[in-house]
Amino acid sequence: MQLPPGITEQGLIQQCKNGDLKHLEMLYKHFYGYAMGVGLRYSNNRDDALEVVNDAFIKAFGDIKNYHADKPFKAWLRRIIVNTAIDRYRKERKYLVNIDLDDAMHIGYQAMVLQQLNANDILKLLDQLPDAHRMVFNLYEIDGYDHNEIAAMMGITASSSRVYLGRAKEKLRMLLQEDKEHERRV
Amino acid sequence: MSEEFDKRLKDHITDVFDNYEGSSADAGWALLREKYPEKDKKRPVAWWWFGVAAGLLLILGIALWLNTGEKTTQALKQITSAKLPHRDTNADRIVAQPSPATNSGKAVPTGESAGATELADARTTRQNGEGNAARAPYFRHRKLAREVASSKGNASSIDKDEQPESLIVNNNTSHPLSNNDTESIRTGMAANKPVILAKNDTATGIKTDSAASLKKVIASVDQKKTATTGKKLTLSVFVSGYNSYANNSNNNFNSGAGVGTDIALSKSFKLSTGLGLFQNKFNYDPTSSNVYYTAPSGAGSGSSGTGGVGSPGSYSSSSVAYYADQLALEVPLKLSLQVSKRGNNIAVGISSAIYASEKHRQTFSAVNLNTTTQVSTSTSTDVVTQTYFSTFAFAKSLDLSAGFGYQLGKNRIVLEPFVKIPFNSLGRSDLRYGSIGTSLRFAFGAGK
Repeated sequence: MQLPPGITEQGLIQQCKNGDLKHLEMLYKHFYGYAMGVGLRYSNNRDDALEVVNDAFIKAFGDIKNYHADKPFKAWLRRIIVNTAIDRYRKERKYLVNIDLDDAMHIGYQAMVLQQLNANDILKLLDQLPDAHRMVFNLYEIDGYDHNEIAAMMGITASSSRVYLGRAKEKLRMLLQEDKEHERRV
Repeated sequence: MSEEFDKRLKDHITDVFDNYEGSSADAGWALLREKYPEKDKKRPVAWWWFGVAAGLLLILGIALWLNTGEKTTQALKQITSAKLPHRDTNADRIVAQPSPATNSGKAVPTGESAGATELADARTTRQNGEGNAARAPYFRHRKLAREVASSKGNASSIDKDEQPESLIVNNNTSHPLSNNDTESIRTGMAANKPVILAKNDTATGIKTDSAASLKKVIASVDQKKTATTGKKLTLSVFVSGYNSYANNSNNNFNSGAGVGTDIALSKSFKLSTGLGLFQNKFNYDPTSSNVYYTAPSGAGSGSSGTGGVGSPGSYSSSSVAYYADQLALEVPLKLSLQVSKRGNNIAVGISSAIYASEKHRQTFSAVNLNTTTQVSTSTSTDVVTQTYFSTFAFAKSLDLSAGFGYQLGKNRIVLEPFVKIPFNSLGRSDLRYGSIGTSLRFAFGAGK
């Protein structure tokens, strides 16, 4: 959502520090898309992503007084969202079922050129990965964590993190390659 | 080849999701508003119930404690008044002085059948000195004498020089001494000690100065006194020092304090409860392999304003420290087995708690090195959340303790090593922690 004329991000954040709900709502809606983009990568579905995002925003609202304007707000918010998602993953890990990629169904979409993949296509791809692999892929490749950090976050070893990443990338390549061949045949 | 593909894939995903447009912000906000601001509709009610219950418990405890103390005084007065013949109403009383026969070792029979000799002696006594009979009797047991004096408010009425080996027991029909007491006195009389009998008394109107019997009488009185004063409820205050431990956290020494009360269920069992304020702090070391939270690498590297994380030409490392500080109002409920009269005991029970304050802090530290410019920057951010009275945990932990008591006058000090084993995750952040430590308890009036 675009900010109303005359209101800057920093000005809005400053207003939010006063706890005004109207400005908090404006901030939420302004960064909602970005936040969902992060949340979706770490969640199995949109509802879970929204829950992660909202929990992260609540944390952010509670701590916005400590936010310093010299840092980008998006980076600060993303940090909170990722941590919230990891918290959720850790809590629900025992309920998650890791499916083997070999048993997973193929994606089946037609847009096989990498650059043509939209968000939904990517999410479908990521959904084919086991949760742990997906987490590691997101954390390492997209959000820039190293394997030691990932190990600490997820309660696994750094070597496991490397293995998960390797498998995730390999399976993503395989999925995309298979679908590309499927497109050629069609 | 594959590396290039991976890079393209990564860049594309980053690009797609960094510019993701959400279309349901309004619905999302509506959902968020259900949780924010945090509505405390039920929690104050729960807290008020909890406060009222704790207050009532304390008031009940104090009332029972005071009431028990009053009964003690009344019982003592009753006993001492029973010992002290009233000066104006004992005109019929016949006091027998120790006769040569009794002094020479013959047992003096009691009861009406033996009354003749004693009546004669009594007349002699009355003739010899009305003052002796009129005066308050001498109590060899000085403590008892003092109690009598204080209860009567007339210490001067006790003549320490008169009848040094005698004790008068009233023949009032409402005599508090039991048949056992009488029996003990009779036993004492068998020891050939001087005996003073009261008129019209067939069972308990016995006066004796026998040291042995007197001791028994006093012991009997003390026993009654103890039975009367044996407190069913004891108040105490305590301080605790303990180590709290949660998975992956560093051990932290914490402390607590509170008030407690012991309710006697039987001779051996007591129900212990109270109210304590306990602090639990936890530090999660970021270097640990199982840190709960960590920060994204290069989180602060978006100095360019793009939020570009892990962008080429930059290297970053980050760490996060997690810190939790909980202040819990705990209500323990324990059943303790008294293993000795000194107050040694073992106890098992549960604790419930409301978390008065829960503070959680995540400190993100990031060092970013731009390999192109060789300029490194470091950032540190604290994310703090704090809640008050937001969580109530019923039966949060299993409490095991052992108590070692030491008498301290009328009071008692009890050293209580304890261990608390959590039943489940505790607090708002679902930390699972236990603690082990020692309490030092000061129990009022729990001594002998």
